[in-house]
Amino acid sequence: MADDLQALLHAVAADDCRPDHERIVRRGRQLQRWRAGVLSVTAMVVALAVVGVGQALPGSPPGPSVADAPSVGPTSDGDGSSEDGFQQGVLPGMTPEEAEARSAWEEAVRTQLPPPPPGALDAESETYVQDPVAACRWRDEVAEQAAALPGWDDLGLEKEEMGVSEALRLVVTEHTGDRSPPVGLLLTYCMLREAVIVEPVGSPDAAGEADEAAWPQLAAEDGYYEVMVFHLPTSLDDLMTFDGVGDGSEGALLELVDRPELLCLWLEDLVEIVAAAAPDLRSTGAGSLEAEIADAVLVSAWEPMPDQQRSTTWHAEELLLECRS
Amino acid sequence: MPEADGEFTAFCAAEYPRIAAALSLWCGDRAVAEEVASEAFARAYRDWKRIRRMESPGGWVRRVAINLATSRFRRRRARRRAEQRVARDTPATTHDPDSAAVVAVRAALQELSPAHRTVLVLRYHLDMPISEVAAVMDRSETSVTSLTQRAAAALRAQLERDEDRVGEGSRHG
Repeated sequence: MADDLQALLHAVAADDCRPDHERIVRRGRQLQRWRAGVLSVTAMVVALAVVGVGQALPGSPPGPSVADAPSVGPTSDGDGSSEDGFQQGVLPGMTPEEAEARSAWEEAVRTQLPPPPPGALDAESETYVQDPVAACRWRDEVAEQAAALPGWDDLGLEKEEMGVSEALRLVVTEHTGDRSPPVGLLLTYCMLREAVIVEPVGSPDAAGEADEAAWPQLAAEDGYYEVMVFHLPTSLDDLMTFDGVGDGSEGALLELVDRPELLCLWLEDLVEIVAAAAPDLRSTGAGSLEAEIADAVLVSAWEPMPDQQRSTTWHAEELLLECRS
Repeated sequence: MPEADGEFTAFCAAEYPRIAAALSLWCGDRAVAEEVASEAFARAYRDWKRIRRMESPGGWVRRVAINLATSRFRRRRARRRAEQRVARDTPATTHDPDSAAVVAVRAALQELSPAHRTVLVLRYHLDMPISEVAAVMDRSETSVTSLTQRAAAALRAQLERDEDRVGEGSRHG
């Protein structure tokens, strides 16, 4: 059987793929530039977190506001060159036409795109995102409209999220005067929020494959649901540069871990999303239903991490209790 | 770093075809496979100073490639779900120039769980030893051995099901 399989798979695989060296090297150099920027910003954030995490726990004296912190890396910046990484205005190397297109696009963003809905964001709050539904809906509107404005196609953006991030920042600055809003945090939050997929996986009898599915399962009246948290932004892959192997969720979650109140908001938000998507969920008795959902969400989000790190990092029940204290 | 660039180019030329071919099995789509392979090699380029000193730079790229492919699979699955939610899901029509048998095997692979597919591709296409597969998949060697057996059985069952389906279709057609 093994020999058959070997022959079979060799026979059906594409056998004439050749590397595009130029493309690979270009992309590799881009990643190097991003990393250089990301690491410098991450160092700042870590420094802030060291000072602020303990104080930022619910009920503790307020630490430095997240609004004071630069947004982390390429979530907002694409090239990782800090909150201002997109760099407004004319940049060195731009042709006059590109510079003109850029200015026109920025002006249109400032004047035509909708401001954040009242109560959706709060620069004074540790979480920044106050109303997840409204904030993320606004993010979607801005993303859609910014891409439709004249000049978008001429911006030469290599990553769409760079443009979206910049559009969000321009609009917030326009309406609040805050020149460094942590829109990267908003983007990360929305992406992680959207990352939750809940789908039925059949009868309890079919759950024998559970250990092979990457996703945690939750018991329901007539079967099981898988909970998947993913769709981590591509740009965050580059935040996770420390060992070069992984899919980036560590970076996204570390952003949240560094902001406990935001982590709590996200967790409770996701528990509600999962519960609404699968109303017949029931607790298996291992804990409260909410804690089981939270655990599934966290395990799935942390899926690329080895089990031992996962288990020592996350304790859903305690985390929920702490969030609600 | 011209010397390192030359070395990387040679590494890429030697390893890329094999990894892209393995990914074509994993993804079921050659274009996607090449995209993922290119990204994995770009990451190798980014860290080449470190990776070139590793015992198995090829192993590192294979692991990154599988991780990237898994990530992409998860995103694709989410997108499909999202499209279904908004009733925009239209079945993709693709033209595969390969023979029906080749298409059938690729399709059967796509029906397997990611873990099954990964272990089959790593073991039987990349011919990796169990110890290396275990390292890539973060599993014990025992687990990889049993997973391999189950995956092979699952692929065989899937191919038989597909054959039965084709047979029934032709009888009814």
